[in-house]
Amino acid sequence: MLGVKSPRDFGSALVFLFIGFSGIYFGSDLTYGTAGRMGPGYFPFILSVLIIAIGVGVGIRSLMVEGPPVEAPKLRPLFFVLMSIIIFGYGVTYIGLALTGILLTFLAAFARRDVNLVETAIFAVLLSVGTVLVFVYALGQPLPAWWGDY
Amino acid sequence: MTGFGAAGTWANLGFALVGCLLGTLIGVLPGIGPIPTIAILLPITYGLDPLSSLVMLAGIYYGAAYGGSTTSILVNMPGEASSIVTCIDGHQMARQGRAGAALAVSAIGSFFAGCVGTLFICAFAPPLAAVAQQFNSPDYFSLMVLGLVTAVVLAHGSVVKAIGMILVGLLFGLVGTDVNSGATRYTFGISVLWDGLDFLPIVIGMFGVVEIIKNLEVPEAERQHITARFRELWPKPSDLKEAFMPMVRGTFLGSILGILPGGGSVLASFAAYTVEKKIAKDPSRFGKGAIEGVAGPESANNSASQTSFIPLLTLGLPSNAIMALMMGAMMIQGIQPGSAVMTSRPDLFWGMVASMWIGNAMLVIINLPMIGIWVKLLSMPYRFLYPAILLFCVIGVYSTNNNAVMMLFTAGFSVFGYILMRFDCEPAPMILGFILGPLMEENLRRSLVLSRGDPMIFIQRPISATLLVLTAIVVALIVLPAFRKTREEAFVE
Repeated sequence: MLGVKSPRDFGSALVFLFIGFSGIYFGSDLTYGTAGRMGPGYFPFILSVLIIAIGVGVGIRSLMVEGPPVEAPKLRPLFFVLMSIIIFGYGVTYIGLALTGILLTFLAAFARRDVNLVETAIFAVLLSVGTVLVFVYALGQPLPAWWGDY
Repeated sequence: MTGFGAAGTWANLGFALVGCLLGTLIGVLPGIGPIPTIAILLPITYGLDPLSSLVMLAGIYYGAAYGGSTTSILVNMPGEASSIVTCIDGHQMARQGRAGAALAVSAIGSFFAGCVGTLFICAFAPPLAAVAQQFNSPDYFSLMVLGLVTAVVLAHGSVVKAIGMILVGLLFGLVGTDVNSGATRYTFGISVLWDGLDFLPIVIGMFGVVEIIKNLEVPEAERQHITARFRELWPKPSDLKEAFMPMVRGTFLGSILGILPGGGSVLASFAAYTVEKKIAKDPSRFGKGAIEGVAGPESANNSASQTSFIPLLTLGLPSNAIMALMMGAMMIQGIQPGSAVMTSRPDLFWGMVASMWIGNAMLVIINLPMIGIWVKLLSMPYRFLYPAILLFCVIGVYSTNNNAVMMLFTAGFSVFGYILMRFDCEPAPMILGFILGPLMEENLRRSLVLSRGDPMIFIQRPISATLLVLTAIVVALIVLPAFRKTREEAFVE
């Protein structure tokens, strides 16, 4: 019976296979050309095939060699950090760096379990203002500071 | 040495200073190693002219490397692979209250190594560049293959997976419009992708953000805090005496190993540690705070960092992920690293070399007095540090184009990086592949055009053949059990 002995390697194999097959599928409308006149699809195809080969190799190994289990992902940090990043982009465009900095600090804070709202608020303001001063004024980055540019 | 003249203007010195400060400041933050540090601070250099931006980048690079050592010593969290060795004895020294001595020795050793490294570059770069003039497309292609494979040898963990990551990086590097045919590849109709994927969201997403998330998953109580007991801030004269020969040995070891493509500084620091331990009169002191265990590896590390620029500047081959970033930065400035740079823009080349030395000097001048500040910074609880880190990361990405869509990419790559981390896949080889992807394809294409589709051209040209033989040897070494054991032993430590 085939049992997965190394879950991490098995997962890696899946990732490689996914990328490899996607590479071939999404590149299928590109012309391959010949060796002497390489088309845009040539190198991607070779790479995708090699990636699939690696995926197969790692996959086979994962069925034969023991490996440590995959740790379960904790969703809370992942979710809040991602949210902060995505919202940051729109935030800076519409309401500027300072306000978005405060927003981001709050969102990021919720990635932890023990959040002290007052402490976070003070910190958020200090950090945002400080960051604006450093990045926009001291370093001259073309970022909208106090309100959005949109 | 007109380079010193070009780089030594007050304005450029100022840039180097700022670069060093910023590099150290961000490099010191736990979890932010040199790669994310350089990535975050890169956009700041965009507005400057090429030489000034390179000078600042050099400052950032050294600041980041030093910040990484600081974190290793104080918090036992290495910022990158080559700092792992510094953790071993450096952190022990910190626990004994000798953190100041460790940090100082690290900085001084690095400076010494930097000076020698610069001399090395002066000596070896011109002949190497002359050799590079002989290179043609097949040779470049084989060189890149060699470089990538060698980089894998020194990646931690599974070699096969590292090769896979390189291939993935190569593939991602091809996203965008193909210059030769005008066809768009893997763009899914998104216009932002027509110019290809930006490397900044990839690097920050996969390195910086993933690190933050990883740290957040550990409950606060378990995270290590520094015992910031400082009995003395400066090393005793006896410390310096003990550290001197290790510094020298480390420097020479590092200078030579750094030229090799692929993780030169990792190999250098491990090798230096092993050498010091073997030569020491009392090897049992190692692991408990032996100053040679800091001086040797740090010097080796830094001189390898210097000389690892050599392949980049003379042959256009980035020997590790950090060099790949530098290469990306240079390309954004319109400089195509390679043998052409030395001849067509010697002021740029020598200015860069000079700026590296200046960066080193800056480091010692600024950071030694400021050790106390860095320590205070690190003793802040993580719950304050990580929102700041995150903020700097996102600002860095956003300010490249002031485009919110970049953040979506960053988030996407963060998820990708997270998944990879959970599955024990190394992201660093992917960066290498990413930067080299389009170049490899171009050289492959040109080679095959030259040979009218005959793949034998790679073996017919002597330089290319030699490089491929070397590649085969490296591959054989990876596979040979004896070598594998040595490799694993080195990493177990």
